[in-house]
Amino acid sequence: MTGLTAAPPRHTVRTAMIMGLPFSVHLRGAADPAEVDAAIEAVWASLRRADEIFSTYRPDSDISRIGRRELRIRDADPDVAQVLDFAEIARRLTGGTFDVHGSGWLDPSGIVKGWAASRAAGPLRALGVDHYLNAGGDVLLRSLSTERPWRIGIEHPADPNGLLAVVELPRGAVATSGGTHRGAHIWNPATGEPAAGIAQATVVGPSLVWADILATAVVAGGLDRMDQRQWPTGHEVLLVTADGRVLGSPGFRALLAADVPAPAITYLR
Amino acid sequence: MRRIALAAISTLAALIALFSYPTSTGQSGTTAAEAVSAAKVVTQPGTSSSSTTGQGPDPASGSTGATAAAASSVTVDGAVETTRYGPMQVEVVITGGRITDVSALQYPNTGREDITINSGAIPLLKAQVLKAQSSKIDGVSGATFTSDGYVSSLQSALDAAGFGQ
Repeated sequence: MTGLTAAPPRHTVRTAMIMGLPFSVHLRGAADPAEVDAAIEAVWASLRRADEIFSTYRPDSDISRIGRRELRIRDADPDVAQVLDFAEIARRLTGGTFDVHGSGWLDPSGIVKGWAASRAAGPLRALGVDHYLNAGGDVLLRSLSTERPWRIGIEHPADPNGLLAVVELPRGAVATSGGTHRGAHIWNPATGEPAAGIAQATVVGPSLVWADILATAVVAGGLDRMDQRQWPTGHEVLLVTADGRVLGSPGFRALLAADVPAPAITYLR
Repeated sequence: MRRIALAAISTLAALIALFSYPTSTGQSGTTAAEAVSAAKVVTQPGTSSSSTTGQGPDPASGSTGATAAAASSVTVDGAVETTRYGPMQVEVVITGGRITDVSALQYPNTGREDITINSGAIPLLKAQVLKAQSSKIDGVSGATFTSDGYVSSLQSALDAAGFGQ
């Protein structure tokens, strides 16, 4: 709890279900209510538009029509080509493990969420208040003052009631991917011993699109995809192996909230 | 005392926002301001510890077996929120400036799929609120989100429980 006298800033929370996922917008500070309403509606509209284009559940989406060869990519909404460009980069990063064509049909779902959320958050920036957008567990945030960072808990993969760690940052993105690795050889560069699969990877960095891709890449491709020299700068990773160990990139240490007990983290390199 | 009430009310707002989810359309939930204006304190402090459950204040009993802590308890009822599926109302108990219990006084009960989601989510919700409070977080990043309604509900609880400080 903070001081008695400081009135807490006005905190607004709005939620919506889009793409089958819960989204929420959090605003901190005073803004014109009509502008707030308009900005948040614009966020939801942008996300719904992305769903119309990319949903594999909608037979009339561009992606579904491309999959049925009724629509060519160059004739589809321009967003499709842009997302597929990101998908190609993700495929290379993972040595082909993360492949939007891998399931036999075109499915860029693993990338669309982060990409769509990044773009949808634009109207929030114009409000001139601290804000954050939570896109089904992927977070994009921005605080006007470095002295008022946002605090984001990272879910514990083995305990839905628990948190793995808490990070604190004034702006940027936090993306978490989970899943079990499918049997490929994974190597732990810190210890030189084979590592088990990766239960969860969280990437923090300046860009939600990249954080999302990199978290997906680490989970899909394993620790050998964690050569940060190949990453866009400024992205840090925290992951949990299937056997319960917690590994982090060196820079992750500085992101952890100082007042919350952190797990035992083995820092890589 | 004012500080306690504020913490409770912002949590209530978050909870009510969660349960106001239109689960299949994309409409937005309740604003914090609406919930704040309707929340009311039903038990004043001074009596130490009414226990967590019960149908309202229990004057003059005070001997529920719980240890009489030095901290006083306040029970706050949220507004009855009309959701698409029926009325929703939560109650929060605050002891010593911290939320010590969350319960649902009413939740939609129409026998539809979303009801299972809500009733099943309530104990989880409670755990999440308590957890989020202890870490003072604004939100949660996680990977367990699928299109499954139950898990979505849990995620939104995690997220909504970050009522900010």
